[in-house]
Amino acid sequence: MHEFAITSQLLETVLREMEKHNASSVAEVHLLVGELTYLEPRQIRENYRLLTRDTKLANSRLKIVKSKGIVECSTCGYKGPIKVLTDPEYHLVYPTLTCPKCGFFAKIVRGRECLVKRIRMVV
Amino acid sequence: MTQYLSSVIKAGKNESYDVELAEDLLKANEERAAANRNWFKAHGIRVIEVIGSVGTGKTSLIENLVKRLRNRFKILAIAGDLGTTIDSSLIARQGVEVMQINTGRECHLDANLVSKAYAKIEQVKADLVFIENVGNLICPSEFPLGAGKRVVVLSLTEGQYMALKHPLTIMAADVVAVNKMDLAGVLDVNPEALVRDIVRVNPKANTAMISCKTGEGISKLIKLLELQE
Repeated sequence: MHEFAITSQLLETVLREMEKHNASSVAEVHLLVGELTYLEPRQIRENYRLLTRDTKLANSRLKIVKSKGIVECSTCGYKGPIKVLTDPEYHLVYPTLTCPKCGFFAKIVRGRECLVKRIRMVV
Repeated sequence: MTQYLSSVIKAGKNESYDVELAEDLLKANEERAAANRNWFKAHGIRVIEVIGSVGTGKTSLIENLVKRLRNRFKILAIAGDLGTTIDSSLIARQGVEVMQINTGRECHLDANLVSKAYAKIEQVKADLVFIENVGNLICPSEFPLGAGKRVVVLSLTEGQYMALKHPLTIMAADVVAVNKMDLAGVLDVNPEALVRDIVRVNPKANTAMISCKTGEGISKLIKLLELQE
C-alpha cells in the first residue's frame, strides 16, 4: 500500500548516487525486499516504471530479490528461519514469533528491510 | 591517501560499473522514530500509539483512556487522519488538549510528522501523549513513530480471523485490544479464538478484551500500558 512512498524514496537514492558518481545513465537497480514487510515487489516495479517514465532512469531495470525472515531467540540461542504455521482449512500460511526450537519468543533480525543493494551505472 | 586513490580503477566513457550500497529505505523513518523516542524520554513523556482498521474503535478507546487518566496526567491526544478533524474533535469533548495531523493521501503517520508535534507537546506541557494513527491495519505497522507502547485495536465486528490475516501488524504490537466485547452475544465470533490467534502469532503481545461502550476491560488495558496508579 505504501509502495509509492518507498519507490519515490528509491528514486531519490538512485539519482543522488548518479550525481555522486557522475554517471550518465543507470542500467540496473538491485533491491532486496524482506518477506516480513508489507511491500509487494510487483507494485514497487509498477511504481518504478511509472515514476521513471520520461526521466533519465526510464531505461533502467529494477531487479528485486526477496529476503527470508530470520529470527533469534534469547532463551535457547536459536538463530534461523522464522517459524511459519499453516492452516489448510483456510489456505493460511502465517509467520509467528514463537521460537521454532524452544517455543518461547524469538525476535526478528532479518526480513523487515527494503535495501538498495547495488546500482549499475554507466559513466 | 593519494596513493590509494591513484590505484582506483575507474570506468571509462560508456562503461558500466556497480555501486554497492546497503541503504535501507525503511531505515530513514526508523532513525527518525529513535530520535522521537529519545526526545520523549528526555522530556519525561509517555507516548502510546494506537493502530487499527477504520471503525475498530481507536478514537473511542482514546476517549475511554483519557476519561480515566485526565486527572493524573496532562494529556495531549494527536489524531492522524487523511483530511478531517472529526477524531480530534471527539476526543476534545473529554476536556484534553488535542492536535490533528492530516496526512493528505498518505495511508499512515510517519516519525517525521510526529516530530512536528514537539512544539505543541511543550506548549501544553503534556506528560502523556496518545497518537491515533490513520485507520489502517497494514501500513502503520511498518512505520514506527517512537512511541513507548504500541496498541493494536481489533474488534469483533471485523470477524474472527483478523490476527491471522495481519500477522505482521500483530508482531509489531506490544498490546492488542479486542474491542466491542459488548457485541459478543449477538455476533457469531469467538473472542477466545481470536485472542488465541494473537498469542500464537506474537507470544509477547499482551491482550485485553474490552468494550469502549461499557468500559469493560479498560482498567486492565491501563495496567498493560503501565499507566495505573
